[in-house]
Amino acid sequence: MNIEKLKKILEDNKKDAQYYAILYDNSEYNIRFSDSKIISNRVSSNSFVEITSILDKKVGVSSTTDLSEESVIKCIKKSYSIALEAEENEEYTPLIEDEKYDDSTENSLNFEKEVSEIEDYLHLIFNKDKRIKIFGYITGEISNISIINSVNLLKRTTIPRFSYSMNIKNDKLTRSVWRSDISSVSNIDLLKNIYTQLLKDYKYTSIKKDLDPGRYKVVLSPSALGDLLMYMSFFLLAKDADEKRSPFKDLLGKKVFPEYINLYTDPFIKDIKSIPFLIFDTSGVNPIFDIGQSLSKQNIIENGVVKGLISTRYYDQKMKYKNNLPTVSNLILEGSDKEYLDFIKDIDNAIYINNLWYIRSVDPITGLLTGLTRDGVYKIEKGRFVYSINNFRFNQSPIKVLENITSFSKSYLSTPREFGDSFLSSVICPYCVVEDFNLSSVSEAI
Amino acid sequence: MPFDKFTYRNYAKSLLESSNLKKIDFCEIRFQEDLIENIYFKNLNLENIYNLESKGFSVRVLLNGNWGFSSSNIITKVSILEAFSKAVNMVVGLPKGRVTLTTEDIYKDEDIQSVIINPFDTPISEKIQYIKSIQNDLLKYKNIDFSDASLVQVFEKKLYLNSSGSDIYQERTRIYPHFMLYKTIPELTTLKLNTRPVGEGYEYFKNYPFQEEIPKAAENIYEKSKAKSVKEGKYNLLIDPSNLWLTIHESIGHSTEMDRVLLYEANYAGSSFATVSGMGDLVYGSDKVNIVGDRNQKNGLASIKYDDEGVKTTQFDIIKNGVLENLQTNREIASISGMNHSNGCSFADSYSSFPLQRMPNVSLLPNESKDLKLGDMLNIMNDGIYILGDGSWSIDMQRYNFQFTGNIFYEVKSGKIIGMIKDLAYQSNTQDFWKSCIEIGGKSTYSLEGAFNCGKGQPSQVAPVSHGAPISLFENIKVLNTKNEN
Ligand SMILES: [Zn+2]
Repeated sequence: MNIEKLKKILEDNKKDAQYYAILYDNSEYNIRFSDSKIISNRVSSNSFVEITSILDKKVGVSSTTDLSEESVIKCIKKSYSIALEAEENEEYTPLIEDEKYDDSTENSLNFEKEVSEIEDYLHLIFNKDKRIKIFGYITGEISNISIINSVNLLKRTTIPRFSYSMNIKNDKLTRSVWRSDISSVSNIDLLKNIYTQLLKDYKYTSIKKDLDPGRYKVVLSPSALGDLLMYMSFFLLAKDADEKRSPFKDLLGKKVFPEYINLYTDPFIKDIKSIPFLIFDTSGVNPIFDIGQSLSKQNIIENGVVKGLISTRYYDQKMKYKNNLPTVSNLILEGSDKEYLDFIKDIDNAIYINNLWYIRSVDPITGLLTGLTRDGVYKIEKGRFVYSINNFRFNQSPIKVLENITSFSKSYLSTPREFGDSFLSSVICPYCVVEDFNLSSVSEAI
Repeated sequence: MPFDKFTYRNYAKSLLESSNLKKIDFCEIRFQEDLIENIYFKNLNLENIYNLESKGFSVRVLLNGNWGFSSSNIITKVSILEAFSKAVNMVVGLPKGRVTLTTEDIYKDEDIQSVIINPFDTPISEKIQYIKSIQNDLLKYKNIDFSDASLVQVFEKKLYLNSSGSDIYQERTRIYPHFMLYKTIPELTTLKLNTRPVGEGYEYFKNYPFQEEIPKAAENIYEKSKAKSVKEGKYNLLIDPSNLWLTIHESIGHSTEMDRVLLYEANYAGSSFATVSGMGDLVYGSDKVNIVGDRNQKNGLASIKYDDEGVKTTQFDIIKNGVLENLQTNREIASISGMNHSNGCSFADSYSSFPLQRMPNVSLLPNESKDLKLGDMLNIMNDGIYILGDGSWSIDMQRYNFQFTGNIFYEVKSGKIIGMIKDLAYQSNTQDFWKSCIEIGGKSTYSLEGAFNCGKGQPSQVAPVSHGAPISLFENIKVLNTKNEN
C-alpha cells in the first residue's frame, strides 16, 4: 500500500463522507541485554492505515494493520458506519485544505549490519571486566508517516530514531549508573561513548553515604528535568485550564516563573528530527479535525510568562486565543552558554540527580508529582562530585521546579528515563540548580 | 480479512515441518488479532469513537541459547518464511547465550472464553445512547460539573504453534467502562465511579448498578470537596479492595516476577528485593497474608487456559502465611533457576511483541476462619482511616518504597465513620507494610479489581491483570498531607 493507492481507494469508497487518512509504516530492531548477556534480539515491521470519515459533523475512526485492498475498503466502510451511528461533534471544524509537505526519505533500516556491529561491541565489553554487570537496550527504527484528506492535503515525513541506553552495576548490586543517548542517524560511537562515560560515573559510586530526607538544593540532569517537563506538558491543555481542571488554571498570560525561563516547542530544531505536523492524539487534547495541521516554533513560557497552552482550532476560535499550540512536538527549555563541566564547577554544595523514575500525578490542583531518584545521586561540593547518596522518593510539582530554578547550563538533547522511550517525544534542556526540592523519604532501592 | 486460523495454521505447519527447522533448536509462531473499540465522552459531547484492528504474527527461534524474534503484519506463507530467516539472522553466529527452556507438555486445544454479550455484537449507537444516558444522570447533579466517560472493549484471538507440536487457539474478551467526575468550585475535586476493568462481555457494563451508585457519587463528591485536610502522622488504615488491589499489584505482583528478580528488567522497569533463594524463607508479611497467582480465576483479566508459550496455566501460592512460596515464571527463567516447569506466566500484548514473563491475577485470600465484615473491621480498627478506590501510585525500582493515594478517605473514631478527609497519601515499604497487616476481612468483603495497562519491557508492553482482595487492616502506617508536600 502507498499513499497514492490509498487516495484512490478512498475516493472510490468514501461515499458522501469527508475523510482523512494516515498511512504509517515502521521497521525496527531492538537488542536487550542483562547481566552482560544479550537476552533478546527482535526485528519487526509494522504498518497500519487509519481512516476517519466525517459525515456532517459526525465522526468515525477505524484502523487496520491488514493493508490488502479488500481490508482497507472494509476499514473505510467501518469508519463510515461508525460516523453514521455517531452523534454530531460540537467541536466540528472544517478540515485543513490544500496544504502540502514532504520531507520523507527513502532510507531503510540496515538492520543486519547494524545489529551485528552492535552485538560484536557488546560482547567485547561484556568480557572486559567481570566485576561489573552490564544491562541495556538498543533500538533502531525508521517510521514513515503520510497524511491525506478529502480537501487536498498531503503531508509526508520520515522519522529515523536510534537510541542507546546502558546501565552498569557491580556484582553485589550495591552500585548502579545509567546513561543514554538518541540520534536521528545510526551511530555506534554514541554507544561507545556511553560506556566510557559510565565507567567514570561508576567511580563516583565507590563511596556511598546516607542522607536523610528533606528539602534540598539539587542539580537536575537534562534527563531528570526532561521527565518533569514531559509530565508538565500533560497539564498544558487550554480547555482544562479554563475549566479549572489543571494546575495551569488562571496562569495564561501571567508571569509565573523567573524571566530567564523560556520554554518552547520547535519541530525544526536541528538536534533531533520531530514530526512537523499534527498526527496522533499525543497530548490528550482531542484534535480530530486538526490532523495534518502544520507545527512551527511556538512559545509556551516566554521570559517567565505563560504564553501559550495546547488547544484545538475550534477552541481557539471560540475563545479568541491567539498564541496556543496544537501539540508539543518536542520541548525545549532555553539554557545559558555555559558548558556542563563549567556549570558544575561553580556549584558549591548541592545534590545531583541523574534520573527520575515512576513519576505519577498526586494532586491535580497543584500539579504535585511523586517519583524516585534513580541510578546516580551524588553530593557536589566545591564544584566536584564527592560521593554518592541513597535514592529518594520525591514529592514535587514541575511548576515549582521551574519557579525554583536559580541557574542552568547550556541545553542538551535529553533522554528522559521514563518518557524518553518514544519517537514522538524529545526534550532539549539544561542541567539546572533547583532550590527547595522535596526529597520526601529514603528509598533503599539500587 | 478475517482471522483465518485454518489457513494460518497451514502456513505455520509448512514452516514447522520444513527442513528449515534443522537450523535451530526451537521455534514458535503466534498469530494474534486484537479488536479494540474505544468510545470517549466529555459531558454530553461524543469526543471520539475509535475502532482498531491489529493483526499479524511473530516467529521466535532459539539457537545456541539465543532468542531471535521477527514479526510482521503481512500474513502469507512467504512472509512467514522471511520472518523466520530474519529471526535466525539476528542470532546466527552469536556466542552461546543463556537461554534454556523447561520441558513442557504438548497441547492441541481450543479455548473460547464464554461471554454473555460480545461487545462487538452490540450496535455502536446503542452503546452511545447508554453512555449518554449515564452522563445525563450524572450531570443532573449540580455538584458534578464535568464527567469524562470512556468505554474500552477488547476482543483478542491467539493461535500458537511450536516446534514441539503444540497447537492452541484461544479467544478472550475484556471491557472497561470508566467515569471520572469533577467538581471545580471552590477548587478541583475529583471522584471516580467504581466501575472496573473485567474479563467479561458487554453484560458487565449493561448490568452495572449505575442507578444506585450515581446519587451516592453526587453526595460523595460534595462531601469530599468540603472534607478537612488530613493531619500527617501514623494511622491505622482499613483498606477496601478497590484501593488495596493496586498496592498488591505494585508491591507483591511485580516484586515476585522472577524475571525482575533475575535482573531482566534492570535497565527499565526495575528489579526486586525478592530472591530465588528466598522461596520458602523470605518473610513478606504477617502470618495473615496469603497471596495466590491464578490465571484460571473467573473474570480475571490475566485468566487464560494456556500462556503465550503454550504452557497450561494454574493456580499457585505466592505468599503463604506471610512467607514467600513461589515466584512467577516463564519457561526460560524457570529453567535458569533450576525449576522443572514454568507456572504459565508468559504474555505478549500484540502479534509484534516479544513474550515476557507477565503477572497472573495476583490476589490476597480472604480470612478463612471468620467472615469479618466492614462493621467488624471498623470495630477492630477502632481509630484510623478507611480508604476506598484507587488514585495515584508509585513504587521504587526494587519495590521497597511506595506511595499511594485513593478515591475516598473516611476518618474513623471508636469504630464509627465520622466524616471524610482529603489530601492523603500513604507511604511505606513493602515488607513493613505487609508485616503490619493485623486483620483480614471475610469472603463477603472480597472483590476482584484490576487494570488494563500494566507496563513492562523494552519496547514497552501493556498487560491486563486482575487482583482480588478482602477489606484488610494495617496498623501504624505513615500518612502524608499532599498539600504540605508541595
Ligand atoms: Zn504493573
